[in-house]
Amino acid sequence: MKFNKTILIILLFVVAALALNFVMGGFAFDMSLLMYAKPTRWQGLISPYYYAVLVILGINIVLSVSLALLNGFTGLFTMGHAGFMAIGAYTSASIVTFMLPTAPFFVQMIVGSLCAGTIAALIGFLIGVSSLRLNGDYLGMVTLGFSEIIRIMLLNIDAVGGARGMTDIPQYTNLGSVLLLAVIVILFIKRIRDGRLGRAMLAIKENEMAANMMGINPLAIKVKAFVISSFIAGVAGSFFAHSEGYLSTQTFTFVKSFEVIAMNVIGGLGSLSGAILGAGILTVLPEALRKVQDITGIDLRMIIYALTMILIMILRPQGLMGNREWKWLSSK
Amino acid sequence: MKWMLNLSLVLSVLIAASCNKGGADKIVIGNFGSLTGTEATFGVSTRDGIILAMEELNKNGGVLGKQVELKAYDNQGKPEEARLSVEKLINVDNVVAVLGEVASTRSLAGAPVAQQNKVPMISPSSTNPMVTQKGDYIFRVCFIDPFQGEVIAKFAYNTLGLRKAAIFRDSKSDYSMGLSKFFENKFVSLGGTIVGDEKYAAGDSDFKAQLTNLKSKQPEFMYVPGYYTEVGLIARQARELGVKIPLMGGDGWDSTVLKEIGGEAVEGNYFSNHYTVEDPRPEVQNFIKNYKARFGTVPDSLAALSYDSAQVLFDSIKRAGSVEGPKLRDAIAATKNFPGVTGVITLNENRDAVKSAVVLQVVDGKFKFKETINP
Repeated sequence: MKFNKTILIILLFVVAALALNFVMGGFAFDMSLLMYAKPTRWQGLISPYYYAVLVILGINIVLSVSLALLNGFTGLFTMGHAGFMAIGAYTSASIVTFMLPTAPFFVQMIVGSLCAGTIAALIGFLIGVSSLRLNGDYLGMVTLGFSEIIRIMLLNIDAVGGARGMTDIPQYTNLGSVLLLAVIVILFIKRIRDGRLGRAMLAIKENEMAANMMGINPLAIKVKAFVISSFIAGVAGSFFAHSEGYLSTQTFTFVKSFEVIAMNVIGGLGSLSGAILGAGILTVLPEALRKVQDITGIDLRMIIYALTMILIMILRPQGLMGNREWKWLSSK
Repeated sequence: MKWMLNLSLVLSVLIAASCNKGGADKIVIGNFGSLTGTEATFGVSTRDGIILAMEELNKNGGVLGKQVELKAYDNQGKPEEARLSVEKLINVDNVVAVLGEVASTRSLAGAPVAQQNKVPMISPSSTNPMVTQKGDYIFRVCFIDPFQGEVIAKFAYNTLGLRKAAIFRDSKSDYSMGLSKFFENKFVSLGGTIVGDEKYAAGDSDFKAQLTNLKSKQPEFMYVPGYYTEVGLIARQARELGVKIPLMGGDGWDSTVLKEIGGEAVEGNYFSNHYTVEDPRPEVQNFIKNYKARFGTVPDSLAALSYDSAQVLFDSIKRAGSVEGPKLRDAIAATKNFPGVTGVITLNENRDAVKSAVVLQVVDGKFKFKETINP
């Protein structure tokens, strides 16, 4: 009956996401507003600024959760998530802009994000296979290098704007679709974690040799982790491209990769809830701190932001959630 | 279900926070820039230029009888944060206009938001032509790159009285090709002739073949609109070949490295630029004095450009008599012959500034002010 329950939960979240978007997007019984159009100025309950922050939050949760599968569960320390995101973002933006400019939004969305995910997964597969012999910091270095190579390549392709950036990308991502994506991804990763594959991943993380002795093929599991994680990161990149409407390679530097890693670490490596919580904190905090500027007069945002991160790490070195999970995400 | 409680708490805070309104007794303007990150000096100079313009205005009673307040947000040099800052400036702080950004990439990220919300945005120093093509609410107060070609054409023809030019351009760079094209058109229409036209590619280090070729055409000066690395080498090799005529270029020359590479060979040559601290016009000298008194440093050209962008905005608010988006937009678009620090500014139908530039000469390794050229 577990499968039925999952479907029920997904449906529940779909309804919740639609309802939330309905309330925030201006109480319109308009299908386009529900699933793809962005509210313009003050149509809804909240201003477009907070709306935009919530959309970014959703995308960051997806990124963070997908990295948790690699860094948290399988114990592969990778620093190249921005690269996968970049591939997804540019793939989807190119396909939608050059090949499907007039297609209905749901065709654009589905084709765009699936292609984005597939290409990212393909690259993830290649990186996974080619760096399987590496562990720990070395793997981190290789993935960091790969993500920079991807970025420099994109920087030199004139068709996608090069250094100037890619403009006029259709903006169909909205809160409804992003929340839906986030919920699907969270539940998907949860099921992987609680299933056979997830157990194997955890075993590899704890002791690769022992896992091998127990009949697990570490290479296959690691490649699977790479492929799934990069697929989701690619989809997140696609949603990002169509929420921003503008892409520049400046977004996808290693700083972005470290941000996603920081979300995982602050929340607690190895905890799905932690990845979500970390994404929430690191997305909302810098924006919330803009208010502080009104009181202090000078911009202390980055100082407070950094201090908060340091304090969390000193007071809770295992991350905010540690190894624990919220009830709805715990494995029984 | 504790998380649901948390979520609802967060949402209610967001909703409550989004309902505050700015005071009606103040006019709020916005600025977004990279105040932290790798390009922080650009962002800080730009913000300081705006602060100076605003404080001078407020001291003299403000505009439309109201004081002006600046909201300056940091975007860490990231395009996605640039977009969020503009969303916040417009939708939460209710700014009447947005000033920014320096980098064209971040202006391109922020411009669609300003356009959608019909709030005018003036970029002080984004030179990429695409920025103002984002919509009719997007302006800039700097000239776009190609215009500099016309400046040198006028300077050579009118001031130095030269009639025969040779062009030596970088075939790999849009910047160099654009400058050369505009230079050629202007110089020919003034009555000069182009006797030679050669190309090189950025990264080359031997230019002697092309230079010998150009020398045989006996031009009176040579236009080399490239970047300082190649220009330094070209100058050196030209002098070695006995080419005595002056070389001229654009703001790609503006670096102390030019002297290091070119040595004695770059002496006496000319190039066009946005602004110089040596310009004797009172607008410039007053600005430099006040900026020094307020911030303790000599303003760079980014500070000067952002000061101008703020001045143009205040002037437009005065002329519009209103801070409503469409009226203010029309007033900014009608800006004509505005005496700014970086030149006399007129906005054309593409919302780009048509303005004066300065010509500098290399003397003893320093860049000496030579002349202001009006469009």
